[in-house]
Amino acid sequence: MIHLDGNSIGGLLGDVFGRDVTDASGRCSNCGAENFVGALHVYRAAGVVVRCPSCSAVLMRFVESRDEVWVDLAGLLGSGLEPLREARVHVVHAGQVVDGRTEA
Amino acid sequence: MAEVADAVTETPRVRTLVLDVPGWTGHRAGQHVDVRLTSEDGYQAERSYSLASAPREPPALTVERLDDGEVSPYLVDDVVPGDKFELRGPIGGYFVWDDDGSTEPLFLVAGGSGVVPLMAMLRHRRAVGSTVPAKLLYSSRTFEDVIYRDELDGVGAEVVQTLTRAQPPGWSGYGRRVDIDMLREVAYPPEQDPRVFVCGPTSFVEAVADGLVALGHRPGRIRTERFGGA
Amino acid sequence: MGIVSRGFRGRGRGDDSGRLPPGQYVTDDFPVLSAGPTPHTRLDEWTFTIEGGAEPVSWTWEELLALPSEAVTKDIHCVTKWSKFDTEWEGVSVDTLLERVDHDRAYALAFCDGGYTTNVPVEDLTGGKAWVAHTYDGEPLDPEHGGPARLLVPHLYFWKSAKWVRGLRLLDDDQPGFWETNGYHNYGDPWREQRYWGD
Repeated sequence: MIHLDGNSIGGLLGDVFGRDVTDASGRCSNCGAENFVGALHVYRAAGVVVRCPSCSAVLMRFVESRDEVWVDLAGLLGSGLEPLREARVHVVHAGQVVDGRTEA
Repeated sequence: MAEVADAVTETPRVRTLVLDVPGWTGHRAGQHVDVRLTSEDGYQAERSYSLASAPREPPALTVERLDDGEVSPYLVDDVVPGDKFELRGPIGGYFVWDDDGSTEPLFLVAGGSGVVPLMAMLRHRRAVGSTVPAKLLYSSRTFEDVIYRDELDGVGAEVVQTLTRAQPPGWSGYGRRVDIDMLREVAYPPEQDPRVFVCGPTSFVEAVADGLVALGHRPGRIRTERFGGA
Repeated sequence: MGIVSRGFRGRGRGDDSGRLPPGQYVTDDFPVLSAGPTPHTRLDEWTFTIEGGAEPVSWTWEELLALPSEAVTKDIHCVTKWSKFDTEWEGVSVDTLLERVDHDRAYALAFCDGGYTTNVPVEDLTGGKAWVAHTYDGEPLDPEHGGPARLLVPHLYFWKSAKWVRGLRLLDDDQPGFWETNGYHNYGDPWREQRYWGD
């Protein structure tokens, strides 16, 4: 499977963060490698998986339905990225929604 | 929403679509748009295409027909002026070049249709009269596949080409895939701390980026954009 | 629905035979969708292990291939809306594997090379509903499609048919896997269109 890079999910990232974040940088929670979001490796499976270019650890995961998006950013450290506080954006951590809303 | 205003054939497999996008406020060189097509039965397909135009020109996309493509054959072969599709953008803040006053040279490396966003950068540089030294290393399969072939001479930057599959008689460029020796000969030396943009298929981009790092370029000065495909 | 683009016909088509679950389109392709790089485990190091029974039970690649194998033809449905009819597989029924395991657990978590996991109730892995598949379309399963072996659970969305599967962990309590912890439905029945949390 050929991976792309963070540039290819610029639109999705804009939907989640409200602005272009491909020039934000963050650190891999597994190996510490620092990269721009635009340079991270992107795999499209059932959802979108963003991985560290150095060690392939999962940094971010996104699942989009027509109306909502679930996002897990636990693997990316120090980016300062804050998902939009909107009803359609659900922040997930350890399998639970952490933004105050329960599983519907 | 975008409407096709004009369609220009670049090569047998590549076409540029000039778009009319209501509310378009401009873009940065290197950015792309997401195009979404909907068929009559509601089926949707979405793809990203780099903007080929300079920031102050009307938005234009240059699309290469992929043999097994779902969207590109439609955009290259079927679409005519007046056709409409959904478009989101411009998108991108990492793989962009602005004439921001920095003086270090600009080294651009293109694999196939990866030349599109880099051409937007060179068109922008020419339009604003930038004096930043710039060089494009552009890899194509054959002479017929070279996109923007006639414009490259007048783009105001040094263009070095390599044709990997076949070269015409009298060809004075390179005739093989980009490798570390070619990069050593063509790239600005690391001491000049060039800004580097590499775009093309994933394996091309990674081989070029790795080669430049091996030659001593700082990884942080190399920005990459991977297109789908090998 | 978005603006219809004149003359655009994508790769997906509708179907009114009753075989297409709601919201799906039929394709003749077999798209490659992976959550990560393709692993390449050597077959002489590959094992399939079922944990959580009285004791773990493990098969090497040779041992797996020596088990009775079934040829099955199934429709498959990906949550990204493409369906493919009449896909042909060969593999070992999970029933055959579980015969060797002494357990009374209700849930399973499939685990894979590369770290992917997905959870399926044991009831949905038994009774002829699931296989560890090693052959597709008459050929050894391609690594891009999950080879050497993947879980095949065609009555659920295809993210449950875990690629590069290396075993099952039998559990008393359900443990949501990679996508089930991130917005995809815990069970995933395509006929009830159970794609996302809350569906």
